[in-house]
Amino acid sequence: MIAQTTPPPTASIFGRIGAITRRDMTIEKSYHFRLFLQFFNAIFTVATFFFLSKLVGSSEYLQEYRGGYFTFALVGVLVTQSSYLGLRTFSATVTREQDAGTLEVLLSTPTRLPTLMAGTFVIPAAFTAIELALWFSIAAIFFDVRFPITGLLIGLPLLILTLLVFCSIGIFSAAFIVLTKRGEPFTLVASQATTFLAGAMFPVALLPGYLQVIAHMVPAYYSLTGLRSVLLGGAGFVSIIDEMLVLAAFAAVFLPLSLVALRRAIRSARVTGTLANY
Amino acid sequence: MLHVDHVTKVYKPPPPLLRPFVRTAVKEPVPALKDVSFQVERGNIVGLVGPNGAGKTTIIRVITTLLTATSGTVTLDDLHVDRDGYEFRRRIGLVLSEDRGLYWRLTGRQNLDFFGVMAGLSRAAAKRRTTELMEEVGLAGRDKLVFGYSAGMRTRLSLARALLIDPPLLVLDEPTRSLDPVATREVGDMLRGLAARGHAVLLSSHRLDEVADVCTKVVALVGGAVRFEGTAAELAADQAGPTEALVRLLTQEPKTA
Repeated sequence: MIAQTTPPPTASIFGRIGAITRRDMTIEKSYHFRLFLQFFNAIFTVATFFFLSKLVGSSEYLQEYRGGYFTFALVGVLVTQSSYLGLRTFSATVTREQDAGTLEVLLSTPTRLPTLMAGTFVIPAAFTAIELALWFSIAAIFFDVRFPITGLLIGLPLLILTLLVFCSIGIFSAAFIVLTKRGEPFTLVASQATTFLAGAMFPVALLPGYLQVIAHMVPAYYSLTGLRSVLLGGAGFVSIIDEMLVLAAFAAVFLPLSLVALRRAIRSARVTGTLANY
Repeated sequence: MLHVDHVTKVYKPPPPLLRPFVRTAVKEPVPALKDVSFQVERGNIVGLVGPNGAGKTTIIRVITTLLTATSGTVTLDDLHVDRDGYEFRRRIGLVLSEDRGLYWRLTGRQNLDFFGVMAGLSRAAAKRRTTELMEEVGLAGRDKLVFGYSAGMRTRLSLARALLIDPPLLVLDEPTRSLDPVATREVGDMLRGLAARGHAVLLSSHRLDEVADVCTKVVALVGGAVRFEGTAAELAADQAGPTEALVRLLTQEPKTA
């Protein structure tokens, strides 16, 4: 029998993403105690915000938001958790594969880079979604705080655009990690900008004037403004179109650039012979 | 089949601007491969031998698209390694020399199922192939998390992974390093079987006896350059025997013109 010269039919992109998802799920399940701890973390964090809201009371800065500081902070948590998901997933994946020695093996297979990236995103995204659902359920069950379903549905496209922007920044981080192995500046800058400048935990109006101007350059500012207006201000879809357009513009610029950056970083590591280093 | 033509690789330090961020093993340009040329044809097992640092792993990484050569060309049939990387990878099975490269928190089967799909098989085909290969490499009935595998079992699993898509070219970097003599012989038999079925095999090894025994052709690298390229029969014709002939080739000073 002569060995085949034509390779077998190629698995579909979805087949490959499914395989990566099953792999990640199996590995995550093997760390089940971590999942258990996440549940407790959610309870205590939500409770902390609840009691913090008692301290803050009804500040004049929060008057435009229904529900006071507690709901204001919960929307902040929704955006920061989504931003961390986008920012950290890809660089964490590269680091993990480098440590395990599997990065080279994966890159020697006929699976394209965007497929690998998409596949590694599924389980972290599902876990973040479950975690956020848990936070909001705890808020509803224990603290009687409910967000309007229509607001959540209207806000969903905005959240998806937010994720796209932060995933792009996350892919930049991964490109940096391919070259430097440890330490990249993007996650730190973007997460601090989200938490501090964009007003995740306090209204931007509290900041000095020049920082309020800078806040407009942070993508999360538009996510937070849009989501708060639909979830806490009762606004409709039309009122968040501007925010969506800004986020779409960020994504349109960042996403292709980040993929080019990652491709170049891998090409550079192939030249220097540092692909397997960690 | 596989043609390696005048391949040179020089490891260079990163540009000064990037040096604070990117750490490489070299501070000055280091030539790792010097004008290396050889061919691997279908049905042949070509042994790549040489002392540590001879450039064996470097040329294997170039062939498997993990490293870019400074100059020269590598082609597989009509495919060029730089231009057709994706198609190249669809035709190569790779066994790396490192003990890593597998997911230790997955079982052997789960590893093969996963890499099967990554290599291009459908889920069902990957599962079928996994069952066949677990049997073939002697891991059937011994399926457990890879962190519980011995080094030899991990090597067998890596070998099975390389065979998932039944690739026309198999590239193995010291596959028998962690294997006992019986398992080494089994691997040798398996490679002969693959070659008999028309596969091309490139095998890097420190074990000269293994190379002399299994390979149909030998390429000896010393200091990044090809010191000898010939058939196993030529080595066997040496009065001292093939292994001793190889030792002499690897240790003697190069002939000057």
